[in-house]
Amino acid sequence: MSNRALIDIIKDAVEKETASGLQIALESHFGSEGMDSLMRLSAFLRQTLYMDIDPHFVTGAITVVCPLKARPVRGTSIVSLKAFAGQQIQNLALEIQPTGHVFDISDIGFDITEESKTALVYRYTPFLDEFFVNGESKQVKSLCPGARSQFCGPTFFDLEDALTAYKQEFAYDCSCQILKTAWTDNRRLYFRPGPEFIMRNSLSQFLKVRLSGGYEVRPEQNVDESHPVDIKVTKLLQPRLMLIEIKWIGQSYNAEKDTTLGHWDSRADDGIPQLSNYLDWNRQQAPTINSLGYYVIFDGRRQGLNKTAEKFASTDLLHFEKKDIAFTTNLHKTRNDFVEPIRMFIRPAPEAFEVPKV
Amino acid sequence: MRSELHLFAYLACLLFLYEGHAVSDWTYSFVGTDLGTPFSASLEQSIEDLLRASMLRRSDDSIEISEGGFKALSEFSSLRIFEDRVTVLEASTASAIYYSTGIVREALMLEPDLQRVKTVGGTRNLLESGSTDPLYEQFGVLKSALPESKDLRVPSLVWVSALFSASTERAFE
Repeated sequence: MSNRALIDIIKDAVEKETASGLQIALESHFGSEGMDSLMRLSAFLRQTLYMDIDPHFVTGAITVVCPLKARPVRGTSIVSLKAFAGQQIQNLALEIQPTGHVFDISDIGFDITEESKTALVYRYTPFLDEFFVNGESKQVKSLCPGARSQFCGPTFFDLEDALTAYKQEFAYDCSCQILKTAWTDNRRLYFRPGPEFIMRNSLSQFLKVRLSGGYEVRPEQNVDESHPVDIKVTKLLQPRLMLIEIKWIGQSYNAEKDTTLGHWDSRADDGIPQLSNYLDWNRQQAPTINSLGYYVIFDGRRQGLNKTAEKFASTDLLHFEKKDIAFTTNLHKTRNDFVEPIRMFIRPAPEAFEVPKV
Repeated sequence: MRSELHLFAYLACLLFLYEGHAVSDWTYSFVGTDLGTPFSASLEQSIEDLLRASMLRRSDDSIEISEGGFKALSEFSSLRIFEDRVTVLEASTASAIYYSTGIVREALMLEPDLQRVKTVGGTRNLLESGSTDPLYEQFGVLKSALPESKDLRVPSLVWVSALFSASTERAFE
């Protein structure tokens, strides 16, 4: 990308940022105290609220009022939010005093517009973060497509933890906006032709955002000329390299040719010698670097699919959910630089399921 | 993580330039690695010195400040001579509080001088005279969009978000 092209993109991005204008509105209405509140509130959301409350369980709204200056206490003092963990949340309202003390104000009637004249107010509704400044709503652009909130989800210091979180939070329900485009339609039955690059983009974007700043994540680095590995993760300032190979199994459908293509367990087998070769090649090229291989298989297998039916029985759609892949090679088990393959089953969307007959 | 200290120190140095200071006034230099990340040998040496002096301590994979380190930091931070430095360091770390360290790392990979080093390859000095014009061009875009801003955390957050958006656009183009 040339510097000119980059400047144009940055100009565009800065214009969008200033148009949505949270920071600008905060500074303009409240000065530096407004930015202090934003820092206090952001830290609370990341380090406290979303450490204890999983936004999957929020069906209504969470509101957090962050007054700029200390004011008379209201509501009930809360020492820990752990009591809310795992509970469905319809309406929760909290106030954080400048001292850091948290109060439950859910049962106190308040008006967000009025509150936002003397406080920074945050509201979460599913997949939307909003701040209110002087009565105006400022929506937060999501930098991690598929994340329910920009502020949820811990930063990972370990790649395996990050991959597990991706599998559970993003792949299983296909909540990632990028990964959603890997399918021919929203029922999630057939992949579109050649979906690997979408899977790679989805996973690499997640890792870029959620792995700590101590890693470098690069999609599709060439290990050798004929076999690119899908994602390369480097631990900075340490001689550690992690190579991620991605494959998919299930069926793809080519609408133009009206043909389907099935990839089953034997296809998953192919990735094991490939990744082993990458690791060997890499060790020859950089013998002082400790390399580890991660094999990720996106599993979209469904039983009994046909193009004429709209909906299918759950026993067919979920037939493979708990069925591990029967690898015919055990090469990955004999190497100490090959992490156990990670199968990520992607569940079909609710609209693909037949309603059970009573 | 140790590499994050280099990352946020470099962002602070860039914001110092945004404020109109000369790079030589930062008093220590950075190199860009071929991975596109900043590194300062002086900072690395200081981290080692502070670890030896128990001002910092190792904790698993990361580094934490000790109680003694925190006391010393509070004293140094209150000195007028460090006022400008504290401002830019706070603006730099604000981006990690509002976004995440991963987003800041990805964003900074599109900082023009780091990008230049990554393109050329190898380890090279950053922010040398003659290599900073594209950086000041980006600062020009920011300053014209934020003419009234007095709190340095505002351009810091806007710039990181813009660079990250550009990085995402580039990855998927």
